[in-house]
Amino acid sequence: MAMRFEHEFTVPVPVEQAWSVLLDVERIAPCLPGAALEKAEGDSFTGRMKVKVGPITVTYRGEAAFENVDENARTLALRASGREARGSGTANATVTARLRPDDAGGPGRPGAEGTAGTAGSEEVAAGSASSVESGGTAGSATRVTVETSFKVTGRPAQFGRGMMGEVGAKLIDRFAANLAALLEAGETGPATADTVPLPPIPAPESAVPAQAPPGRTASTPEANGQGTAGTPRTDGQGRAGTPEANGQATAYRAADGRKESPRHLTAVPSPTETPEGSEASREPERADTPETAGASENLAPVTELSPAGAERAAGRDTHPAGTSRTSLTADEEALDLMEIAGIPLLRRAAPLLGAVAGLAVAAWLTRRALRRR
Amino acid sequence: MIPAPFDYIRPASVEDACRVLADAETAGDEVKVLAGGQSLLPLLRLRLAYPSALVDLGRLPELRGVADRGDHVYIGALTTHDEVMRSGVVREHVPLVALATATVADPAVRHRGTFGGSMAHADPAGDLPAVALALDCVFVVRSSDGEREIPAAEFFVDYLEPALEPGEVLLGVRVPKLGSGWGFHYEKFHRTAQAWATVGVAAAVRRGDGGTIEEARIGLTNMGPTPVRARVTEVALRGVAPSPSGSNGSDPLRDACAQADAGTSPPADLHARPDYRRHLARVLTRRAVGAALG
Amino acid sequence: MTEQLDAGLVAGRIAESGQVSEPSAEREMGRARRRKEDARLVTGRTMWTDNIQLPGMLYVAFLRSPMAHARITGVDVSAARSLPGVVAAYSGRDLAEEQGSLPCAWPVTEDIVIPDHPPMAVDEVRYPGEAVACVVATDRYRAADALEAIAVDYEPLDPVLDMTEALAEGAPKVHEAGNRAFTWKFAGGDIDAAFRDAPVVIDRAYVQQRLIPTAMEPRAVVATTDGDGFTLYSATQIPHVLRVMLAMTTGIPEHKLRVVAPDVGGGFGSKLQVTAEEVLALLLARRLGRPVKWTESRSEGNLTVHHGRDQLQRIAVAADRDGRIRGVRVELLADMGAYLMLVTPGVPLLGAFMYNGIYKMDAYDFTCTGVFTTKMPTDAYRGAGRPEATFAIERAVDELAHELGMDPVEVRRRNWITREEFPYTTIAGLTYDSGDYEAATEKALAMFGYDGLRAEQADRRERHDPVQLGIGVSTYTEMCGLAPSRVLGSLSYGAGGWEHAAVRLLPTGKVEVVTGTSPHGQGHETAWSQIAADALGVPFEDVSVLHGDTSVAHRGMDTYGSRSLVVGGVAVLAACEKVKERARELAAHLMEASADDVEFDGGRFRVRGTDEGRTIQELALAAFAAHDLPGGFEPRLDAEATFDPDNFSFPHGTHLCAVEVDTETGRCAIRSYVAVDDVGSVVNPLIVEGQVHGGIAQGVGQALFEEAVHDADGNLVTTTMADYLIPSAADLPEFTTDRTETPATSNPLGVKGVGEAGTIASTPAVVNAIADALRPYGVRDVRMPCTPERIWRALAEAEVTVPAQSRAAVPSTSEIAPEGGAR
Repeated sequence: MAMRFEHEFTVPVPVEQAWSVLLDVERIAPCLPGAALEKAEGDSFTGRMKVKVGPITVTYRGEAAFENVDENARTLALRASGREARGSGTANATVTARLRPDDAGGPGRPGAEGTAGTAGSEEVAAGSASSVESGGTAGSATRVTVETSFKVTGRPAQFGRGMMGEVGAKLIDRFAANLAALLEAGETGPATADTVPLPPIPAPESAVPAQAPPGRTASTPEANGQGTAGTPRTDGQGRAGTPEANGQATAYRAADGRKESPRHLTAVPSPTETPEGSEASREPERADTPETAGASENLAPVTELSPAGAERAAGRDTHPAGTSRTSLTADEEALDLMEIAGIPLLRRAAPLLGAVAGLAVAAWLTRRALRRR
Repeated sequence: MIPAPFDYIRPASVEDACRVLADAETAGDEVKVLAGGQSLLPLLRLRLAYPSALVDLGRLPELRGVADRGDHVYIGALTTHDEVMRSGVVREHVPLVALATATVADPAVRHRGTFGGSMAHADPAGDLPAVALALDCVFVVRSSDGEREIPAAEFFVDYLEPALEPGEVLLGVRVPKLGSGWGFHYEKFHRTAQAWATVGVAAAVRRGDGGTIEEARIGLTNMGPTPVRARVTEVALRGVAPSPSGSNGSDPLRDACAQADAGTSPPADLHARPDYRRHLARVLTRRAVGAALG
Repeated sequence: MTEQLDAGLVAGRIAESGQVSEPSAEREMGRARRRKEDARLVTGRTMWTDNIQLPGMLYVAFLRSPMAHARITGVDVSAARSLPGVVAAYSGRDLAEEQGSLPCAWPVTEDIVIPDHPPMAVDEVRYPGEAVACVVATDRYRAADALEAIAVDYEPLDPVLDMTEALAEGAPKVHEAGNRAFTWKFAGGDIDAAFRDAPVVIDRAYVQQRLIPTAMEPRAVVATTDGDGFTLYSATQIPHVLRVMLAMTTGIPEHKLRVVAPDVGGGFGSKLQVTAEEVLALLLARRLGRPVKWTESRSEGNLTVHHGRDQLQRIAVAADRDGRIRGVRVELLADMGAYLMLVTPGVPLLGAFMYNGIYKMDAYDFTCTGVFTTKMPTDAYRGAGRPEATFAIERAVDELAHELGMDPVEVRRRNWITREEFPYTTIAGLTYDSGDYEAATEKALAMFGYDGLRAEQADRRERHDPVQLGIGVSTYTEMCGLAPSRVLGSLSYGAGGWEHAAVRLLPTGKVEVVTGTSPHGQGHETAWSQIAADALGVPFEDVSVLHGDTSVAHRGMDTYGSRSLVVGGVAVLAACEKVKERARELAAHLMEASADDVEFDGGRFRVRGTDEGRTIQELALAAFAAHDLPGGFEPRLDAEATFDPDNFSFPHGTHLCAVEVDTETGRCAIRSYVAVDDVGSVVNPLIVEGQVHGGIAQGVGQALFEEAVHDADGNLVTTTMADYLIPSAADLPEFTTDRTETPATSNPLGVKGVGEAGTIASTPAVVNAIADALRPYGVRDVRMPCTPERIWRALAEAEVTVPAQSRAAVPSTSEIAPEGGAR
């Protein structure tokens, strides 16, 4: 099982400061919940990591090392590989981080990966302005892009219920959140997993007022188009009628196994994970359902493709990355954004994903509308 | 399929159990409570869980049984599914519990698996957590510090994580009687008879004198890391006059259930991806509500 | 002791004790006997392999690769060795010198690539679950615990998961020699002529998903040695083949190796194998000098029992406008998995002669390429090649019917071999000996209520009922009863297809039948008893059947391919006939008559025209006493026989399935299922019924539920039964079954195989029904298993969003044109 996640956020410290923190593994390691550094020698480290979900416990022991540390480009990669302490399974992770000075717009500005084409740019801008305060000053902020991929083998990977997806999304989410907090804290001291508040599960009660009434739409037609344009015609047709096109079922790869959660991360299948003719591309995620297709009384669908996923998909016209998506309807995504609006960390992180920010506006509008009632 | 070694402790009383759990907590040992074992033992055998000890509550009669307590039915945590679904008290006063319990796995599992065990395992794919949520059940737990009550809305914290502190034992669950005028249904969608719910909908609906819906409670199974209430739909159903879809194709129930998936974050697994689960939630909620209305 | 042992005296004593039976008059053939073996099987009072306990026995646990594909850079078993109770721990390297290579007995082409297949991986693992180390301990718990102490270092390599990609230039290689194992071609008639200017061409691609055979009894092995010879107990279908293969593989001389298949709880082809665990158990017993046992867990089995199916099919059917089929062209990619096991490459070719189905045509062309991937090897699974073939042709014929606006039954009628045309040599070169497709189909249609269901279907379409009705037709035949040794030889199979039986009359008149078939749930003990009882005129209860132990049943070719009755059962009959002839000779001698004047009736030999007679039981005792025998007559009434048929067996039938598809949720429920099978003469209708029911269930499993799924890294994610779904009785309708009887002409019993028929027939019946239900929505196909989600997505992606009953029943010319030019 492979998973890949991307996080992007801005911290109000200069790049140099963030960079030095990033190189300090003894401070970075605790950002990963359950991780413990045992030994550090130069650029390599040994440690263990305990993953715990309810009664399930998997402990990995392994090594990690910095790779491709490029001080000029402010990029680095941390590669870790581990083996289950008590089983035969393995886990491999690569964390790639990139820092860039964020002079212009503060945290609200969509990142390069965060734009869903030109769609809804107005909303995005509005979202930045209206729903989020500016968190940094020109020249003193750093935009951080963290890309995490990991692969798991062995027993934890051998379940169709997507256990590791559930766990993995959570873990990486917390890691990014903790990392952001650590970088922001900068020289003032190390952050630990315990000190950073995590996005709570939205309480059901509070869900009510944030819901959009039927008929309210929050999507952009272009985004929607992108979601469906990639739909390949397959079964029994033309080229698709060849065995090649029908492909081999390598279903439920990677990001697909990830829990679809209202968190601010983007699941992106790595290039090797979307072979031609894969199940994923033959059965693409639909933004839509047969029942509600084009029905005006229903919520217009939001594209299932995440911005980054859509971008990738566009470059692979016949086989869109059907596995990449954040399948949230506008109002519920919004709901979650509003929920976490009180948490400074995520308030900064969230709007950087353009489409997501767009949704935030819709949510904000929705909530206002409901309040007026 | 052989678990790693563990100690086996069978306390003589609930107090005993609490003490054992508290001691383990102090010592930093990882101890698990064993009820019917239908969820825990497979994890042990697959070596995905390595508790140092199991505390078996199976021989504590005080945790077993169903009681009519006026405004609610009390179900002891160790009551088996089979006992629950056959209980006259449950069937009469909280029929939704009986309906959902009857869909749990298969007879062999229902004879061993327990009501409290299903709840404490907090598997969002389990059928009973959604029912508990829909009915606003109250969980009665005890530790060596004493008893406390946890409302269902706070009990299911996350995937496989209940709001039980280490050292706490679930004693039982208070299932409120909803009074007269209510109809119930549990709509389970699964691929084979023994499979977990792909999506499940627990519905309780009260119709007013005029025939319109006055109140609805809907719990969803396997639509997120925890069971969830379909609050938007509950609100939307208020005041709806259910009528069979007319020749013009209108179906007020369906319209009201069109956002049954709002606020959920359904998982992706082998049996369904999120968009399909969302769709199922909408369709099945309509069906569950319709069936609850009779 | 002066009393002479007198035959009459002994007979009298035995008679007093109530042990001698009277000859039996009632015919056993065709009687719905309850299975005599079931009581011990279902109560567990029998010897399953895992029940075997031997003094000093040790337990083996295997450490299995978590990786689909990796180089092994180090295995450290030292920590495991030092744990209490652990007797030994080995890596593949430790065993490399003596473990040899697992055999492939079916090199289908001259240039086939048969990679070395070490039972325990040494340098490289090529599928998830491949054994990389083992622990031998004093109990199974310690063995399991000690696995955690073994450290293996892997250097991950790219997994090879997709057959098409595997064949592409520059693809990662499973083996040095490349990912193409073989390409096998077969043709009859002029295929180009058949397709040239064909008015209608149906060109379709189907995916035969990978299945995991799920026998009720997991695999288990016990190996023991007395210092001289070895005994291997295994939950296997093939004790005899296994013995030969193990002798060749391990170097243990054949005469020093006894293989026993105790009672075995199902196989479905999955136990038609020489497994790594069997070889390794023998090696460990040899090294350690103590008995060793290994029993797999279900999740271990899902990983490492050989898998089934896994083919990408492309089938093109050329036809005239009146529905007459001109030719069929088939291209297959067959997933071999990582290695070629016992008959891996042969499985798709068992279907090669079946893509023409029951139909007449001018030309046929078949190509199959076997492809290596980093998955568990595939091999025989119930039907082995024939379900795939039947699925493709029956799906395509339904599509043809739709293209022509014809009833699917009518299209079949126009093409099938008529009853007058038997024996009929097909375009694939097989001679179907007998059959009556008309009779089976008529019966099935009537039982099904075909016309009524079609009317209801039309009505639901009219009403836009969210629950649509679909009707699926499958008129199948299959070649089974493997089979003529000559033919198997011509297909490069490593062995013959004969079967052996021995029949022994015991002194008390009881009968022992020794069979070379190896039942694992089929009820051979009952059926063979019925055959022997009729042939010898003894009561059913007086027959016992011995099997599965190479020291008891020393010759045999075992059980697979629906061969047991049509080859092994016939051998039992032949042996009985030989015994009878010996008994006739003895009877004639005792009655002082010419053997020609002695007739046999109901267990009694009688001098024609007199009351003078001897029962077969009396003769058994007389032979035992040997006081008065004809000159040169050996004192026994035993005989052996070996039968090698000169043709395959061709059961056939018509299966009809009605499904209700909930278009809102995608759920598909089978509403009714009718199967009329023609398996020739029937020995035991109850057993036939059971085989048909189970077979249909397994075929429905492929259609609706089962699929082995790997993720993008090659992890198998269906390792438990929570994820690999097999249907239970609760998920299936009541099957309505009946039979027609067209006796086979290729054997004296007139019987045909039945073990695989239900599985072969039912999968296309179900999927045809689903396609039929969804066609008005513009859905052309749903990939198996047709899960609710897949059906829902197919509906969502279809062109037509409302049922279009107005859609022309007879398509326009443009619609008949070959699809998408993919010809």
